[in-house]
Amino acid sequence: MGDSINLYQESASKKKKRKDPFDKALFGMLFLLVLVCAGYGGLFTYNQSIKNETTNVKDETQQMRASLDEEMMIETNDVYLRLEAMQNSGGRAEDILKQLGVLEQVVVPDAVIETYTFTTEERGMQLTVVADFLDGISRQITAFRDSEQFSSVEVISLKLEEERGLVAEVHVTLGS
Amino acid sequence: MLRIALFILSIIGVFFVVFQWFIPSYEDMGKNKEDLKQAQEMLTDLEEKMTNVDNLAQAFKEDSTNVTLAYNYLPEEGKEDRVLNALSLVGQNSGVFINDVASSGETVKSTSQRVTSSEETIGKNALRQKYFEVSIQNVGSYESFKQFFRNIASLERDVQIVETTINQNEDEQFDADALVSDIVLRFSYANNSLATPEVILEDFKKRSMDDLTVVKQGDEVFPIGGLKDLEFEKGGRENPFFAPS
Repeated sequence: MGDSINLYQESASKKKKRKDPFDKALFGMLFLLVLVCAGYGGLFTYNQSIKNETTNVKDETQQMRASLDEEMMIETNDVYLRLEAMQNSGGRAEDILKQLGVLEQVVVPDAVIETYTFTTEERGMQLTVVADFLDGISRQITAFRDSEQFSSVEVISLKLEEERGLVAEVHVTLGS
Repeated sequence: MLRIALFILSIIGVFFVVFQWFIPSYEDMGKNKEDLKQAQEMLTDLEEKMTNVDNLAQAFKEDSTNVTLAYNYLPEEGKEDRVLNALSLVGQNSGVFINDVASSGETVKSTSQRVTSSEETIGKNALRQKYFEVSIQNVGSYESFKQFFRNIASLERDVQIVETTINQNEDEQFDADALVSDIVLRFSYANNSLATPEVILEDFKKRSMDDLTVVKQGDEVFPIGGLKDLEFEKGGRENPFFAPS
């Protein structure tokens, strides 16, 4: 009689022990479910917020662009471009004055500049140098070559004319 | 137990499938973040350009000297009458006698095109420049020629000296030390840019008043104070072919 009672108690406790792993697994699965839901929910919310913010920024950009007074911008652009052109115009007449100033410094007493020609395209000076004697021409060419102001000196022709004397065509270019 | 476990697993599976549909992939989220970054950059860029437009417009509005200077330097029309008037004053002031003048017609210098491609934005927003050339023959002393060029350099107008020839004078009617010159002057003028507003706005990204230094002040120009309009007697004449005696 006592043995039968003991056997019953043993089987009940075994049943109790078998329930524990199931509960844990169930709990674990539910926890996993909640975790997955929370994770995905968080990602969903985060992604939606990015999308919403992008839309807001794009809307703001469009509104700002629409508020631009295009006529005023075109007028401002026109003035700006003209002032910019003025700034980048360079020397021009100042170039001529600079060249004449350099010639004043390098011309020798024995020679005379008879003709000076400057063209924008060639950027150099075409000079006709006249002297009574050959040494006058040679001194002038040496003076051109010795001057640091010129980057190139080229004697194009040299001839003796009865009325003018020795005439040399020289092409010189000012250094930068 | 197995049924319940399968039930829960199937719920997780269903959620997983549903979330896969709702929730974008990692790549998609990266793309969305990139989109947001680009949108923010575009907004900042637009703010910067519009601020520059406003600042420059305000500066030109507050000080109209720059605007006057700009349209004197590169007017919208050739204004040949003003050019001839200016040259006459330049000659008189320097002591150079202008004994011959010739002018050539307008020539297109550069054009701007209506462009829409983003790759072609920079550099296409340009004035449509044209020019005409005036050839003049002068007689004067060396010093007067130097003054002539100084006056030309001080003109408010965009003028380029295309060609200059200075010769010793051989004409006996002038002084022995006189020089004769042939000068070709190029006067530019410009019509506005035809670029689209988007292209123009793009150019405002790096523009500010700091980039503009005023080249000529009012007291440095020739004639001093700027070229005035020509004064002449109005009213006409009965016979336009003969001057009144």
